[in-house]
Amino acid sequence: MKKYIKSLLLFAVVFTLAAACSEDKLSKDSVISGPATEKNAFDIWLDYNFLKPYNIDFHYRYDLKESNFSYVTVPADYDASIIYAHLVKYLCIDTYDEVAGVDFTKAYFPKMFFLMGEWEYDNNGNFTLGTAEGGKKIMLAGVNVLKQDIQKLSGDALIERLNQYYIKTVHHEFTHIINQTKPYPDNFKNITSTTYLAGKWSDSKRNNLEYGYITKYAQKEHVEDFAELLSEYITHDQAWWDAQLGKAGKNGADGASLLISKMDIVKDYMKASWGIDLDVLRDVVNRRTRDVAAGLVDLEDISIK
Amino acid sequence: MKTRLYYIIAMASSLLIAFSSCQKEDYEVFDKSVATRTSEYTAKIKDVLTGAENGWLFYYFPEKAASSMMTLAFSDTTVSVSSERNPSLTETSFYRVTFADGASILFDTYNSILHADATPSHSAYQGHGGDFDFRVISVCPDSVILQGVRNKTVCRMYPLKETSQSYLEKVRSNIDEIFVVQATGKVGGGDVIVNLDPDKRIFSIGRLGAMTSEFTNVHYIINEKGIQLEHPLEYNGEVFYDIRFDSEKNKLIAGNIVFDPVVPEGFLPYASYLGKYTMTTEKGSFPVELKQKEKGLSYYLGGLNPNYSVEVQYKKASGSLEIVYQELGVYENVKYLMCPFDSDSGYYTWTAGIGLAGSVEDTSVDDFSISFVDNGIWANYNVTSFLIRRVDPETDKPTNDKVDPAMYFASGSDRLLRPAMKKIVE
Repeated sequence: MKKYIKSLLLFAVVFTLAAACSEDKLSKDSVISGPATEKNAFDIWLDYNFLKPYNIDFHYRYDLKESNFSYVTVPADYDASIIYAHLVKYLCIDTYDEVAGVDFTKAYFPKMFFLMGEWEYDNNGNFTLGTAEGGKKIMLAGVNVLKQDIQKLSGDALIERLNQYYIKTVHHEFTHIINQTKPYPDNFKNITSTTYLAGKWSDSKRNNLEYGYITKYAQKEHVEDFAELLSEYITHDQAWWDAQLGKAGKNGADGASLLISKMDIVKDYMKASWGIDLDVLRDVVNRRTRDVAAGLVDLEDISIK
Repeated sequence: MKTRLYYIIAMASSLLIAFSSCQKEDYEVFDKSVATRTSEYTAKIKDVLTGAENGWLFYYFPEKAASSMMTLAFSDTTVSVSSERNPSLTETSFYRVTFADGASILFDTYNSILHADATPSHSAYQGHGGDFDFRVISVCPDSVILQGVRNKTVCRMYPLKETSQSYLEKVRSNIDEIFVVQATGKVGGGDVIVNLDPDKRIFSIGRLGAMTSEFTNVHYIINEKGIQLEHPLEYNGEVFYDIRFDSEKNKLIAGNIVFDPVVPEGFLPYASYLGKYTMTTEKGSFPVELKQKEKGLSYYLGGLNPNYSVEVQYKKASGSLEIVYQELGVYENVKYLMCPFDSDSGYYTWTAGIGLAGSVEDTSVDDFSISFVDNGIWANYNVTSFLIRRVDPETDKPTNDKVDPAMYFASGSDRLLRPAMKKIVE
């Protein structure tokens, strides 16, 4: 009896394992496919300059799921997006290629840019120029304002505007991304740890330089302080930096020494963690920005070369 | 014991085999896959959109701004948009038909005509309630009904039977002709009054003598025939939807109901304000001039400074003027603002819509005077004047830094204290 039961059990196990719906086949059609969007000339240019060489998705067409629903936002203008793409390529991607090598750019530069037409406005008058998410995505706002600025401004005024509202934003957000990949030393946080203002930074009337902050926004928290310091430094020249230190040391304030202490850490971090000499990076950024202001870069050309 | 265990396992396995089966007779609710049906539906929407020979009329109702009639002409990837605000201007941008919770038409690159009321700014950080991502409620060659994803407003599209410009010119013509802002009549046996606010495009109806809070309000739009409400409105047993203006008889007609227009006190037509004035302030008097900016809507106030003109709004509903917070422009790379100012308390603001309302006391004389008072929007403060402020480029907020004298008002300072105007008859 025991023998029969064992045989029956063995048969049952084999049959169960072998049981299968052999006629089930996977459909060739994906159930999650959506409507395809035909590529235009700019899309093809982006494939050639961003996607294929760097695996970067330069997402200029509006997508609700990529935006922050807390803000009222609008799409980016097509022509302005082309200009912004050129600026990101020439002033940021090509800059890091030149200074740190193409492998660095491929490995660490964010894999997605998402453009929005206007700034993200708060109800207190503040507005957001851009954000970085998860080390992979940078949102750039105010794209439609860029078009007006390019049309209206030239020379130093254009350089200042490009740096302040656009290109500095990319460097600022990229700084967050590399910080998220390799953290900076804790001693940076300690230098002005008692004077950060959090959400009250924009209402403060104090002189930020005299407190050791390169901009008003740098007063918010150490993460922003670091990104502001680095991005402001590389988008200006030595004379500007010296002038800021001069202002920061006025009236006996120790702002200059605080700024220098923090800048030393920023420079050491970039050299030790990433092998980038910040002064060399600054020279390249400045040279390339002057090229743009001098009209040496065609910001509207989307022909494939 | 061991034998019993084997027996239980064997029985359980046998039962499992007996009840396990390949469900080979799946009942298919649809004859095609989700992906196929989705792409067929979106293709159908595109076919309808691109199939209208002259494009589409777009009845657009933003949540917080006046409605506007637009025309949309679709290609496979682009849309060309014009609006009643400027019929001769067309702007082309991209769109796509998407499918998530349902089919949507997303206008996904910026179009200054189509996205105007959705665009936020410093002074209107939430925009004006416009949508550019629309869920498709229904679609057929005769009409497309859409609902904004963000603001939920329902907009309608109908095929155009003529060119965009000729249609929008008819709308413009009706806008200029229908300047009725108030009318009285009988509805369902009761005396009623209707108000038409041409600035906000709101139709309101109520019992004669009732408080305005008791009135029923609905947005309206101007089409080629006259006025059309956002949706049919029932009042006293009558349904209102299309309302036309008979200019010869000077009547407002809604089906069998006829309204007699009423001219509100202090009302002056747009054209009456055009011309030269003397502006008087606490710092002295100087000549200024009101010139047409956008016909029927706004003026340039010249004479305050050669570097800029101040914009003055014409309030169609009351036939009066309004001057509110605005940007004066950029001088020497610095942006300047004209901020409403409470000269008694010393506070100023830079919020959209706050400013001075100008009205005429005696409309029967040619050399009328315009006095300005707070327009009632700035809570707890009283706008009496304006002052100029330069903008901090870092925060984009006004500062108290010294204003360049080149930007001063004709009064010789950065302040326009308690202005008033008197028309010069030539």
